[in-house]
Amino acid sequence: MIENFEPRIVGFLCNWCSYAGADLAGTSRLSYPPNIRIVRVPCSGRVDPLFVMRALRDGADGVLVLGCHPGDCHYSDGNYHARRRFAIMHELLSFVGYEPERVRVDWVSASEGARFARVVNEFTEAVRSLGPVRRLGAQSATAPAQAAALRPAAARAGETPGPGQTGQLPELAAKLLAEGQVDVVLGWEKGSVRERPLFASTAEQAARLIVPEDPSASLNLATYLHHLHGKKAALVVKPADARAVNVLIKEGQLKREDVVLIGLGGEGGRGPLPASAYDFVLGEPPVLSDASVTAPLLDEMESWPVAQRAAFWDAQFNKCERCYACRQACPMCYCAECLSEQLNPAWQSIAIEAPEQAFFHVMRAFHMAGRCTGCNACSNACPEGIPLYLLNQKVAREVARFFGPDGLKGTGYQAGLSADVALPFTVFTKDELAGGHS
Amino acid sequence: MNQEIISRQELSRWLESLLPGYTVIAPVHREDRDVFAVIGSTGEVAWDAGRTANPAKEFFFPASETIVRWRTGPAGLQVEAPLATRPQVLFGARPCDGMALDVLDRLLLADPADPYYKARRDATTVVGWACGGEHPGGGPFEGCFCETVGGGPADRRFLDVLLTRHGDDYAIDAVTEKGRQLLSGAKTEPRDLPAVTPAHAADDIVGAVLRDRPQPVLQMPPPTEWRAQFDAAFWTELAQRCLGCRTCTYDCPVCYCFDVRDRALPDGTIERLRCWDSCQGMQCFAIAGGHNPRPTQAARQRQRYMHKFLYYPEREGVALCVGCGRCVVDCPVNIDIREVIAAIAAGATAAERVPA
Repeated sequence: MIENFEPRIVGFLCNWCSYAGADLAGTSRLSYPPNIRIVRVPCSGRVDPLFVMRALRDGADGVLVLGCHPGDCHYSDGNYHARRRFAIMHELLSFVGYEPERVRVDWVSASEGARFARVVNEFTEAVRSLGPVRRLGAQSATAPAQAAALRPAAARAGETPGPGQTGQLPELAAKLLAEGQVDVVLGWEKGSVRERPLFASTAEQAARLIVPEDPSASLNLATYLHHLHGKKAALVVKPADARAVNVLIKEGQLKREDVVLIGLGGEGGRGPLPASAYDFVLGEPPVLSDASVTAPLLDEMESWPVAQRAAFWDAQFNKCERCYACRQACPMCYCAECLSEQLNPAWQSIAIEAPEQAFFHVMRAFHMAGRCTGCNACSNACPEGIPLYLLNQKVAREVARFFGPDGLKGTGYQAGLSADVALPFTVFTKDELAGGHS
Repeated sequence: MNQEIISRQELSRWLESLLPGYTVIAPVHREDRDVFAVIGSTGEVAWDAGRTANPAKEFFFPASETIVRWRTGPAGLQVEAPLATRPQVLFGARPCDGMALDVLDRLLLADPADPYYKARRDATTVVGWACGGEHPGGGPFEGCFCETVGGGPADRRFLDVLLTRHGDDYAIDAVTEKGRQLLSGAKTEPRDLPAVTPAHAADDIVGAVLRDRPQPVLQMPPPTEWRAQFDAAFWTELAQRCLGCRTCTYDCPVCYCFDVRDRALPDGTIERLRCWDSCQGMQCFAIAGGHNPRPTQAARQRQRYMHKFLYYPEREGVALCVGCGRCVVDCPVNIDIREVIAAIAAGATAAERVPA
């Protein structure tokens, strides 16, 4: 611990309860450390985890988010949403190398001046004992020479679809086009240096369609659905891609009848999805497997000390040039303006340097919560080979730990198993995640 | 007449001797690839490296650069322009990496010269490796096509020293005075190499690469043909699969677009930054008021190739491309600049013009 270290603490306080609680602490002459700088917000539900990430990046040693007790929200449910978001964000921050004790979410009512003083005291001392925050990405570490080990497990296993499928695809595509069922078939063709997406709108083009050699190493063609301008498309998909389409339908980005799904046999991404989820299935029906998130490296990293994870990600983020291939390849990244490039407010600098890359990747991973279906398109698109899938799988794992298959209280949520299931950040259960999350 | 050669051991020793006085950039092996990086000792040099994954651009024109920073303190306003250069040696550059510097020089050193680029350019001596030969990492490499844009595997014109690997030794061609001076401490020896004429050793050693190419060299259509194809439907088709990422431009040795913006640091310092920008980004051309003159990916893809093969040749006399092939191998959706050149050369899309 650095001697005379005075931590800088940013507090986001809900206007109705916690800010009034702080006021009461003051008028009651209760003392609490002056390290906290208070930002008054209308509701803890207004506190985007982006604010917390930015405070940490800009040198806050700790961030305290205080709201009304669950059940007492003046907007009825803002704090329930905040509680869900921060349950996930907290785990993500710890995974990328921030000590979990640097962020605390708690509840303080307007009558709890004493509680406010106690929370601030406890938190300040906890952060003081941690020492100054480290700047994520600031350590210019070199990545370990184990690139192969960083790839998603499925890609290493080299899963390939069942035999005898390649012949069927051009025929099926030509038929769909000829019958006017679709305007375009999005699939794959042989390229000059790698397989590449093909937009087949004629029988001649359809004849070039192939089944990718290793679907788990491919991109996700659903990312192109945002640019079709009303054209009806058939899409060659692995299970994770079809699930991504389900999420997009749930998010109102397209209708099921606008897209024809041609499922690849084999697993080719983490399942499961019944054959009925596709309009056509090539070869053997997709394998229905245990849907648990398997990532040996992720298991290992969870057992590492936080500083080791920080060093790991520093090395990875130092490789990043923010070319945005990950974001562009992701079907879930369809915002018209990404927070990373937004000008007003400018959340990020244009600087191509590791702390900015870290900020971008952490926020992108958070935005994948309950949405990422594990297609690995981001990792597969990254020209630097950064294992971004680990961030997404970590988030998916935490989502499954906190939320049930229907999106409510429980465990085992998986994104995109159907287009009817609620997105976890749009719903809540009152008696979940009890006791705040800190 | 004998050819001056230097053994690997002596070359390494010479490079080591430069380390105290120079920042030495050389190919090193990182993870599963070779990259240009600043080395701390010659033990790091990847002698069998192929084409590096990154171009050498960042050592002349960094991805992010602080142009000026200022803050107000007790002593009033403090302004600092932190351009500091140290003599540097770019070792292991390929002829196309050298050519990239010439291509950039034409724009960035023309009056008014870019002071940041110029300072680093002046401080740099480029020691190149000829491509080709039997050894590992000899090249040519996947996707590369330097002859199409006027380069070649033994092109010495834009290097200060050209080294050509011959077994475990290197034939030396000190091209410029700067190169000769840098080599003054190197322990070389004359040797009679059969079938090698000292005046063009590199050509004799690696020239077979050119001669033995199976397919005819891709021909570059003239700028006029690019202009004629401006409205071709080809661009829309090409851009369909483009993701709109920046990989091709950031990995390009000659793409030089940048953006300048200020940022406030937590300690109150304001920095003016110059950072790489990319014509493939959605917002690159957006102007005040929200208008974007190149609103589609097709327009942005077309801009990339028109800039390289029409506008730049018209202004600077050379293509804004050195045929290194990095964009070819790095594009996640395999947009292949060679196919674009071939398509324009074939004029195949002339019949499919769409109105502007």
